[in-house]
Amino acid sequence: MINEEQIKTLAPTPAAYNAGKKLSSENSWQNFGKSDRALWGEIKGSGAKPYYTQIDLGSVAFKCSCPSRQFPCKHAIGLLLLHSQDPDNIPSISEPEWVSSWLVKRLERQEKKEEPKEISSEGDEKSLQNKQKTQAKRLESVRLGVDELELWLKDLIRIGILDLPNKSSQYFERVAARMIDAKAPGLAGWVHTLKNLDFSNQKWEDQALKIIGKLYLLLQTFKNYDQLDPLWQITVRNLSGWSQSSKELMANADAETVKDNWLVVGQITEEADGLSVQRSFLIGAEKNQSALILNFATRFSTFESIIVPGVMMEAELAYFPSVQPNRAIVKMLNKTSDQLSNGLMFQNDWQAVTLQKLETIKINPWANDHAFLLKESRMYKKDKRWFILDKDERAAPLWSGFNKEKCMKWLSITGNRACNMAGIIRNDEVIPLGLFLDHEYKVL
Amino acid sequence: MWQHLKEIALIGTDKKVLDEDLLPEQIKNLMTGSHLTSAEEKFLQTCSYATFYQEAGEQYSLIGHDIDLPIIKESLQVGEKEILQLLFEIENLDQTVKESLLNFWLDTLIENHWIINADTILKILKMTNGFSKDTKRKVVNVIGEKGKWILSIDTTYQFPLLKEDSMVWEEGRLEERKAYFEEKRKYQNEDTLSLLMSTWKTESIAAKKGFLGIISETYQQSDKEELTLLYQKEFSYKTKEKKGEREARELIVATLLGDTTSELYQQTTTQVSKYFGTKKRSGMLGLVGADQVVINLPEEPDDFFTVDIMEQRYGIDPKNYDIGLFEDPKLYWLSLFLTWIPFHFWAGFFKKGYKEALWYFLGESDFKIKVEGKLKPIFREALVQSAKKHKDKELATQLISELEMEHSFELFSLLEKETFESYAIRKKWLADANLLAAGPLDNHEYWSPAFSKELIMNTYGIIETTYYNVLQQLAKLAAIHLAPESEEVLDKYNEKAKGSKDHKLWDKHFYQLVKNSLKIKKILNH
Repeated sequence: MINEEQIKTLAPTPAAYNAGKKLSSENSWQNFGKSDRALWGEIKGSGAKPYYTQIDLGSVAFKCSCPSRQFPCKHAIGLLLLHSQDPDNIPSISEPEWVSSWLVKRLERQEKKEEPKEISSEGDEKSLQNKQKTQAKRLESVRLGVDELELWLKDLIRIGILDLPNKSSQYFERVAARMIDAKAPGLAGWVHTLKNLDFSNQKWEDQALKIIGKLYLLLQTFKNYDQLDPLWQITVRNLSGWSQSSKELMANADAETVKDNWLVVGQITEEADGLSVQRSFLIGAEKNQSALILNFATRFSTFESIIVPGVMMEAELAYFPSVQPNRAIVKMLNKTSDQLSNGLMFQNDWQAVTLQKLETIKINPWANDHAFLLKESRMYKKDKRWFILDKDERAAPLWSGFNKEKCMKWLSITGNRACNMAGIIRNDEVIPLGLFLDHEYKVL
Repeated sequence: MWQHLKEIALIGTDKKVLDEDLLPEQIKNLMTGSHLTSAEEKFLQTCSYATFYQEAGEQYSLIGHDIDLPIIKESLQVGEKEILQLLFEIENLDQTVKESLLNFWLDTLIENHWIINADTILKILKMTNGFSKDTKRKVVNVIGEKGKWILSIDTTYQFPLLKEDSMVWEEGRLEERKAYFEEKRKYQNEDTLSLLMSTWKTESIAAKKGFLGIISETYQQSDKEELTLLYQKEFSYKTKEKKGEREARELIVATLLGDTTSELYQQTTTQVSKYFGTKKRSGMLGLVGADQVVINLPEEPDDFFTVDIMEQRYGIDPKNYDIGLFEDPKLYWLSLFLTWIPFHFWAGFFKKGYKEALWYFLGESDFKIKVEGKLKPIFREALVQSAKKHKDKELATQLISELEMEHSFELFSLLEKETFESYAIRKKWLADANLLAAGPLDNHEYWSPAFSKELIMNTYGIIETTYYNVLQQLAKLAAIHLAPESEEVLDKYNEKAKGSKDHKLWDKHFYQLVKNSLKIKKILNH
């Protein structure tokens, strides 16, 4: 069952959540019901007919006959909230036709997605040739961008970074825009990271140096592109900003897939240049493998898939090819559940977590946002900075962008009791995502 | 190595050269044989290797000293699920109704010695951070030890402290100390005067006045002795006293004169009694009726109504009064005594008690002044203040029938519920939420079933002719005060409304809110 906190994360905006909340009392609904796979209700709208709201509880999907462009709409949020408060209050009855036919269609679509696409037609051959041509053209363009960025880095290092905090926005934006023109948005992202450093933090110099070191290595690797093996070529392309197609991955029968009972340990949504990027971090209970699912939204479009933080997903994930596969998509979702699996493997201390991270960067030096599970952690504040302690009292600094309210949430639910946690390491800092308490996983 | 690289990076390769001897062997080996020519390339390449070298060797450090992280445990039980879930529904209500319903909910938890789930602590703190002190005080009682601990470390939330906290008293700002003192007096009923007296000598005169003001509002007989001492010693008149000292004396006087057992009350009423007398009524009344009771204020200064006595004994500022309202300072002084001394003292001189006394003080021509062509009773405000200060229901009731509504509005809260309800029906106030809200009910009290029924009927009757915001305001009030027994009536009128074209208006702006509130209260009452 999805709880109130999780529903909050599903709402497209806080205003949509509040509007949904107002519709979460029984009195707001003309009728409602549920089956073991769906939840539905009829609510009075502005017209003569009520709005029909339906929710697929298995793979968490929504449909409503209201004209709202928000997704999920306030009616779906209201219905979910009504359910979350007291599921027993919603009668289990047989599905009305409009619900069962929607579910059948969803199932059909899902099955269709899984059918491998027939290849080798003449059209496909041509399309492949076109694709290769476009790729070669883009590679050429990125190479020019790489040369330009290398020159910029050299200039920067020749005059020194001491003045970096005083540089105008234009100083960075000019070169970032050039990278966009060169079809290398990933490289523009590195420049933005440099620009957006927190220069009030005493450690900005170390952070800048690390970014410069990693970026330079990437540029050199790109210059060796033709000598790299295909997997490395894909990895470097992705780092430079090549987009990866979920559709192609879905159709790719050779893609690496993993079936597991995945815990969605957390979700981080970040905004940049009008684009919302939602990162959902998953850890498999049986194979102990992690995965990252990316979801994008703009002002005009909502996130294309729904991942609820804190739930267990019995699913097959398909990984995008990489030297160290991490980004994935949900290929087949069997069911979601709020019951934690027993198999999750926790690291004993920070040393073990660091070793796990090292294993990853040995394979892919640019890997970041390392998901981990740690035993017996506590939160601790020293000199206005928060740390996460392991059982040996080693202290990992909390991510400087971590919300203070979430720190308070951690403290209020644990009362300083040591508990197992999930989180990610981003540039040596820790972002806690959730806590395991009394056989439940609580998302922060 | 890293420090060396950082220094080069900061000032640039033009100014500082990379010293390869400072690099670790592994990096040196990697650099050997490279064909990099420029200093920048060499530096950047080294920097790349060093970044990963650094990252590979990094460990989180040990805290290195004993840390004190006490585990916060709860002694009370978490409340029943059905009750705790109501918070969600309460959160959904309109802001004004929310606080009232939340109080019902909090009372239920407190009565049962229950606390809320730890993961709801932040939610309730956030929700109630802007609520009244009374509500917050209750919230503190249900958030358990973990919640109190959060309040002590997160300054985002401003909640009253209930625990003994000598730090606040000894080191807090004046406003914090006043809030602490008031909190203890109102809710803990402890011997707060001894706490105050323990630091009294070190308090500034402004602080002393602040505390005396709180004592005045929360006066108990046990305060009398200490206040009398202060009146007789510290704040007795001195030739070279400060303004604040005189004002402090006035505050004490105003408090002690409200206590009929105080020495000052006895002395003052004895003095004032001397001025009561009678005079023949004018015209026909003089022939048939008894003489009229009057106050004969002295024409010339006597042994009481003098500037010196008023200032020295009562702390009254001799200069600061409204000369437009009081032609003679004696009238001003009398108005102060009318406020300070309970009205039953004054009524005692009149045969018909309160009624006659009020006629006299409000109707006597000597006690009226012409303002903008109208005669205005000069003691009106003094009498209203007296009713409020002494919570004198009888005076309030009498004043309401004598005064125009704009002058008596603030006295509605002093009326008996029945009196107010019949008054509201008689005066046809059922559609005026502001007037109804000024009534005597606290947020946890209900109107009578009969009055509730009247309100529902009246509201139903005005849907067609009123604005939706009027309905909303009535709904907010009804959500708080409607008698639970009247739910049937509410449902009956809802059925009736279903057939009308204004059903949406009724449903959206009145019925839903009231119905939800009744539902919540019903669960809580069970």
